Amino acid sequence: MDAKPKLLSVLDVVTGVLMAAATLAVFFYAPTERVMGAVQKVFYFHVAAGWVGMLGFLAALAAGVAYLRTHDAKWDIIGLAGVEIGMAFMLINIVTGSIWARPIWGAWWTWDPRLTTATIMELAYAAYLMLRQGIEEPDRRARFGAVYAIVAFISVPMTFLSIRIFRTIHPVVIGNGGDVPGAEGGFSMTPKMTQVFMFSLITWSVLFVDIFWHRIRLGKLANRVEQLKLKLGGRTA
Amino acid sequence: MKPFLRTMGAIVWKDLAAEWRSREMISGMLVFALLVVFIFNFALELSPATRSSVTAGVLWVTFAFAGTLGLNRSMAAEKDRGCLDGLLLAPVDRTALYFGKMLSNLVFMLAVAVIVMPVYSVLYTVNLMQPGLWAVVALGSLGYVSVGTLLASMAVQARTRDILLPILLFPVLIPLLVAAVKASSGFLQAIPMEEIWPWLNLMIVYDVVFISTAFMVFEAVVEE
Amino acid sequence: MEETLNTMSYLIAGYAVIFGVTLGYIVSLIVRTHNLRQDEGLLLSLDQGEDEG
Repeated sequence: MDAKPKLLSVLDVVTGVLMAAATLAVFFYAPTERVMGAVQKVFYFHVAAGWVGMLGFLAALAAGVAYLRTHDAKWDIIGLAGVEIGMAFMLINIVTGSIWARPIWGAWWTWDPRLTTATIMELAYAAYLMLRQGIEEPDRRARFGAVYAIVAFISVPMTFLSIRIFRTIHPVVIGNGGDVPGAEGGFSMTPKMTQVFMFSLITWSVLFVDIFWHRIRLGKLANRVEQLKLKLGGRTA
Repeated sequence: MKPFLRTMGAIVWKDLAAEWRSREMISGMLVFALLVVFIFNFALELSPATRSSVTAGVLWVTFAFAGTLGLNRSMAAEKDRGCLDGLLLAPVDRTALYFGKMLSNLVFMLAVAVIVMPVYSVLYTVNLMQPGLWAVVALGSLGYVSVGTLLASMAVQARTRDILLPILLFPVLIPLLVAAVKASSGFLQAIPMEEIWPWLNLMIVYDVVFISTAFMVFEAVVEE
Repeated sequence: MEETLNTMSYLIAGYAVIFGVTLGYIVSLIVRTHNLRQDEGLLLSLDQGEDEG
């Protein structure tokens, strides 16, 4: 059992303080947008969550490649951690986007390329978790996880592109260009908004590192327990 | 290069010969595909007016579903009869196994398309016998089996293999299916070629990207 | 001059989701770590018990 590193404890505190500060900044420092009103403030954490969600999936891709090259169990732990955290943050991104879209675009859901791609990603990584669940042998589970993390990530840009072309040829269904951000629901950021936006991005990146670290430690613990189980199981059998 | 091609050829030959004897896979896929077309007829009320706009969608959904049936069957057969283990013991290039399986799956997909499309033409009096449309079918099937073979060989080694393949396959397949449907309906509605090209290009990119990815990672899927 | 929409309830819903999911995930991490720690302790004691026996 390894003790919690001091740096991690410090990081926990820093993350907590930053999150509190960013939340206060969003609610009290950032100005209210003239047309959209209060809901525009969802934007700060919405984008930040999407950004760190992508970081998680990117980490899983990199870990997948590294695992196939080295066959070091450490990369498997990192890959799984990346997918899990990516899914949690991407979920925040999708749901907050939907909440924002209801008053601004007039519908909870539109087939906007970004929204649709994010949701397909979420489904692909849910498939990743199901694949892992279906395999008992640790080594094979790690290899298949790595392969699927790579395949899933590669398809993402093409999915986005296909929906993008689809939209430009297809007539726009809702409003007049209502689901193309920038056409409606777009806004220009004031300096104060930019400051809060940048601060949110930094804060969420720190949050990401902190949670990622904790998740990796959990993964290592889970591996040790699995090894112990195999060892004891082998002896009694 | 020679032994690579020979291994590949041997696998394709073995699959085709086995299929020629039993005909269980093609007939299964085919009956299933025709049933799906019939179900769509009643589910969507394919009246002549709506037909032209939904034909491409109906066809590709049919192929996608029938395809998972075939892929599961083709890889599960390898696994259950112990063929896979035997092949892995042999000192052959692992990627030759992949290309062999991919080619025979492609043959089965195209065989189903070759029968379903004329039948569909007769049933609904639409002309599906256009060279452009067949090019789309070829590109789409190639992309489909390139990812499908890779993912099916993982899915059959998992406990939950029957439900796993479509779940793994469809999220990755979406760009290909979107492109295939749009390109097919482009040819059916005779829209100008420059509006179809983006879709064909996307399919070509998809095929190249996934064949090369599978080529690089397939070894990790079969290694024991 | 367009009128500012009153969208306060959507803002509150949005941040409820953000903190709900984040905290939910952190709690799941803590619970899983706790359970695994217990398992590890149990398995280690079993392991040692067998070594002596």
